[in-house]
Amino acid sequence: MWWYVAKRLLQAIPVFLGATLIIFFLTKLRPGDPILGLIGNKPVSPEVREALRDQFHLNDFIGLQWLYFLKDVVTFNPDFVGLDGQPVFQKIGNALPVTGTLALLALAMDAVIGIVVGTIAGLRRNGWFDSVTLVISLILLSIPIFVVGFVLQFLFGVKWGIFAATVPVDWNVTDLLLPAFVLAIANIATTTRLTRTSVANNMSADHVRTARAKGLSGGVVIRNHVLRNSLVPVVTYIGINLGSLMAGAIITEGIFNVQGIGNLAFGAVSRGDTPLTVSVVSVMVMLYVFMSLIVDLLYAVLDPRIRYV
Amino acid sequence: MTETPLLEIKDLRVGFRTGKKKVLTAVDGASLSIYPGQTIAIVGESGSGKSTLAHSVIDLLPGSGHVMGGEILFEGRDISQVDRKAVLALRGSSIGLVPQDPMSNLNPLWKVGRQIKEALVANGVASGDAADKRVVELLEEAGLPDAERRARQYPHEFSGGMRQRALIAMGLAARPKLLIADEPTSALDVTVQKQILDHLDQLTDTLGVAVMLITHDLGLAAERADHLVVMYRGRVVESGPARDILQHPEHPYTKRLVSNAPSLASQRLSSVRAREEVREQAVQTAAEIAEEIAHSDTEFGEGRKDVIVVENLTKIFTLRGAKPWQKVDFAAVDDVSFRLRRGTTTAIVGESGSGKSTVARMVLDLLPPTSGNVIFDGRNIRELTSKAERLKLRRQMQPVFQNPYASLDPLYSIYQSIEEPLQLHGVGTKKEREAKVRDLLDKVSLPTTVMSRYPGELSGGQRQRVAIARALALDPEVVICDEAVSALDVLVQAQILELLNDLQAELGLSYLFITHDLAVVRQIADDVLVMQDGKVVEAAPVSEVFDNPQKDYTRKLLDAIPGATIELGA
Amino acid sequence: MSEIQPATRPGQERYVAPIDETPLRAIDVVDVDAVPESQWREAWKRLRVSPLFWLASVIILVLAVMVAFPTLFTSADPNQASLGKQFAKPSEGHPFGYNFQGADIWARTVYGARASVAVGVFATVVTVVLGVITGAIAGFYGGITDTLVSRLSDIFFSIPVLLGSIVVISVINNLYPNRGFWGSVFVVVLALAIFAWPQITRQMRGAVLEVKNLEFVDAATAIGASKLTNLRRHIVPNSLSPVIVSATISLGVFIVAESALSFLGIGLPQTIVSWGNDLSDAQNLVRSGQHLVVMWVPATALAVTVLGFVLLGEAVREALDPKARKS
Repeated sequence: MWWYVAKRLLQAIPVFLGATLIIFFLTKLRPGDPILGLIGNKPVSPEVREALRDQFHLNDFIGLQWLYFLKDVVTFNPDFVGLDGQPVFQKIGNALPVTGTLALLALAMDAVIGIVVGTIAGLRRNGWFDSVTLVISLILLSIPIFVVGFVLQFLFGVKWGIFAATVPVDWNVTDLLLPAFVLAIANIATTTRLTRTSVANNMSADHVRTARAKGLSGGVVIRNHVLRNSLVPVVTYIGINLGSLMAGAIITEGIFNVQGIGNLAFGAVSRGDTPLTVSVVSVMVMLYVFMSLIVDLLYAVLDPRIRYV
Repeated sequence: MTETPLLEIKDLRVGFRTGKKKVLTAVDGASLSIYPGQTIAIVGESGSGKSTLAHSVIDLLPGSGHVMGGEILFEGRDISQVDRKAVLALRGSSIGLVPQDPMSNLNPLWKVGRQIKEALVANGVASGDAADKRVVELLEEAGLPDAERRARQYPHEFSGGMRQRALIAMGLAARPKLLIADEPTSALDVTVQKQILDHLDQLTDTLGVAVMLITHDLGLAAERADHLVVMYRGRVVESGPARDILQHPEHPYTKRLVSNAPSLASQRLSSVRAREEVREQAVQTAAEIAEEIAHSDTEFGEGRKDVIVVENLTKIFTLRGAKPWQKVDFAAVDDVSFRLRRGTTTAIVGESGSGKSTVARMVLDLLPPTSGNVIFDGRNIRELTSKAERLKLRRQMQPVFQNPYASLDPLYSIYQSIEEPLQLHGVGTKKEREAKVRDLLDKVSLPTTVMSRYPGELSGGQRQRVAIARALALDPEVVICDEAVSALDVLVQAQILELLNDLQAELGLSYLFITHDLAVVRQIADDVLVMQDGKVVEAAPVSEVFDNPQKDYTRKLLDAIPGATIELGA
Repeated sequence: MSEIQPATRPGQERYVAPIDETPLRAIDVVDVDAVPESQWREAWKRLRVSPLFWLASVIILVLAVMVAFPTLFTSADPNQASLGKQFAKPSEGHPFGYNFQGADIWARTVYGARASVAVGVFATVVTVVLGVITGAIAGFYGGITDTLVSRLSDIFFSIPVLLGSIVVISVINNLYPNRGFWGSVFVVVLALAIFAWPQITRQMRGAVLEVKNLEFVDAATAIGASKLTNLRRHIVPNSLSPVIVSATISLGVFIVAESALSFLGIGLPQTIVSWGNDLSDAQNLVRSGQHLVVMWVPATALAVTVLGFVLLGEAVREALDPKARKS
């Protein structure tokens, strides 16, 4: 299995390089003088200007600039600064905990609600619970996340005051419950559908009939032979989503004013801050690669048939 | 005798809801009895209701299936009427099940031992360490060597035969009085099939368990059971003592089964004589064609007597080893040589993994050999370089594959499927091609109305006819049948074999016939090649192989033909 | 013939059913009267009876008419705004009143359909074309081609769609501001499609890998079909079902994505009437809980549209489900 991990990590290298290269070049295409943005559109003396250009390697060939950037990212260089002169990794380090907590909370909600509801619907396929779940999940999939976000923010935050309407800088987990739920909604709908299909298919599997023939009671059959088998594809789906949840946080963080990665990324893109933008994307890509590796390994734990070599 | 039956089914009717008010009757008024310790067999083709009948006994009907009438008396109590709990109490402890497909009937995520232990615990036989110990005993009893280690393995680490043994151990774990064995070996190789059935026989004998054996093979049924129940279209058409039925079948359906089942037909001398006639005519027609080819410049080939010569054919697959840089060579086909005489049939017989299909794929030029040559009518197919030559070769050699559900493109109508080769080779105008398709359908005895239909709407046997028609579209000299009849019901199988024989006689075709089933060989083949683990074990004319086999392995294959020991009537 | 046979026991006597009870049928007879049915026709037959499908069709039909002939739904001009009518109450011909700028809410919603649908349709088309081609090539040719295509798609897949699109659009916005309606739509389509195609690639690749090992592909090779002919005629058509389902659903997803981009102020420019822009405008009002109608109308239109495509996808999935097919 360690060979597999090594192989996967090796494969991740071109993905990481390619993704940063694309974003790096894209942001470099943006017109305008990065130095002007840096010092707030004030006129600068040519000497200062040159010094700054040197500091940011702006005079070098673009490919070389990317290599400089890579070096800083790979070493998590604490002196690596964005165009506003602030250390990039410190910023990301500050923003990561809140977004990470938000995404993990959303993931937990997705898993718990999606699996429980989906399982009940799957066990009673075509019953009333299944139909109602189908309708609700399709509707949830259709409403844009920010509309749901605003409505819930208004109801729970403003009108009833159950949760804080916005998340303060010194946040705690309770503050994040509402944003996390908003973030999780679309995923919950998908997880529910997936679980339901998986459970329903497994209910008619041959080995389940054999288990019944052995004389096991209905509950034992479902617990031992339907649930675990059904969860294998679901777990994969849930796990692979952590990355997309972090990206989806751009919207949620906007609504609830969370000072997280999403806000940071959006600000960086708007300002044309190449180092920060590409760094944030790099972190997201690393996260994606890491999560898909975890999911694959988890898959092997859940399903003994899968052996990685 | 004052014995009472263990299980008595009286006038049972089982149906499936197919629409709001529509009910499809799968079992219609079936009655049978099983006495303690007795083995009976229910025989029928797919769709005859035999499995439905068996599943209704333990209330495990799939989907909308339900008992509509009649009684199922187990030890005198009607279990079709009792509540769920009472049925649950019977399952495992009083009535066990050995299911059909060993591949899908074990939960892939749990260790085999644990799955057997579950049966012990659920039925209150044993628990804890005692149960673990018992599991090992049960696996040993089912004939699994090294049971202690095996119990700790997962199903995917088992071969098909081993899984079936595990399922037998499971079915007998709580020592039921009745064991329902639903086609327990039809997915296995013939030699494994025999081993497992022998073992099951012996085991149920010692334990005094009654067995209800469900099978499509009349020969196998008669060999294993003393009482037979023949089902056809949901009804019991004939029942009684096995030998009596086999020797004096009365119902026309049973008669049909007895005269056509390959396992039984293979012993008859009549089938040998019929084959001889076919060959004589085919060889003559083929010789005429060869004469023409020999004198023509445009035709591919030289009109030789041996239409295909295979020399030292070898295929080595390189597999990944445990470490990324490790490679393991695996010889799927190892130094195979044979000749296919024009107008005759050479059968390649072997079990799964013997390399027989790989040979077929190499002969068809679908897979490049590692070494060795395939020579088609004097031309080495590896030396064909031009595209036109290769296309010409393709015209002369056509395949009919095993799986009737995968060998036709589901999106193509029957007409499109048969016309495709003609179109690809630019044969004739559109009108001429249509006439040809009609002619081909006629040859394979299908009405022309099927032209506009799609594969999904035809039965397996009908699809196989379409596949044969497609293969014949380009007037080939050689047809390679890769397990072409293996997936079909016995009667359909017999019918397709007859069709292949007729076509051979009429068109002077040469067949390379790949099969795992030695029983069908006698009706279609002239020469036999027995393969094992990529090597040729024995090569001889059919009659020699059947009457005087030289190798142990061939003898084992012959022994495994079910029903071979039963004397038949006329 | 062996004469020693066990005595038959009660219930096991020799029994032969009356022949007229189960008359013998010819073996494997063809049902001549059956109507031919291709897989697509069969799927259509199942679709026809699905309530989901009909609901979806009605929604999509209404939407199509709204896009093609907006004047059938409103006579007001969506771009005409007068501050005097700010938040004015509904009146004759203006069923939902006016927004912050004093423009007719309903008219803006009707005309806004065009931009959203354009983005959804074109982004789907580009994604599917790219994904099907790359997926088919990767799955069919395998080896080094597969590795290259798979790694490339991995690269684009690893960047979250929303984040990537923001970067692309913000760059292009700065390079070429003022692009007009189609230019703006094109940019959003491009930005979404660049990061969305790998999804389809993966699906298609998986389907092709499965189909290419089926026997009818070998049969086609054996009659002389070239690799490309085989791919085009047999493999691709048989691999499309899962892609069709995803494409239908992704149409809705792209519409939502466009609105999310507009919500962030980066999708279609403010000058273009679109649901995303209207929702973006409405966000400040919502915080205060006033004039909620400004949000409800475009939000409902958007949600119902997306629901239409999600429902259609769901209905198509059920109709194409291989388990439901008779085989």
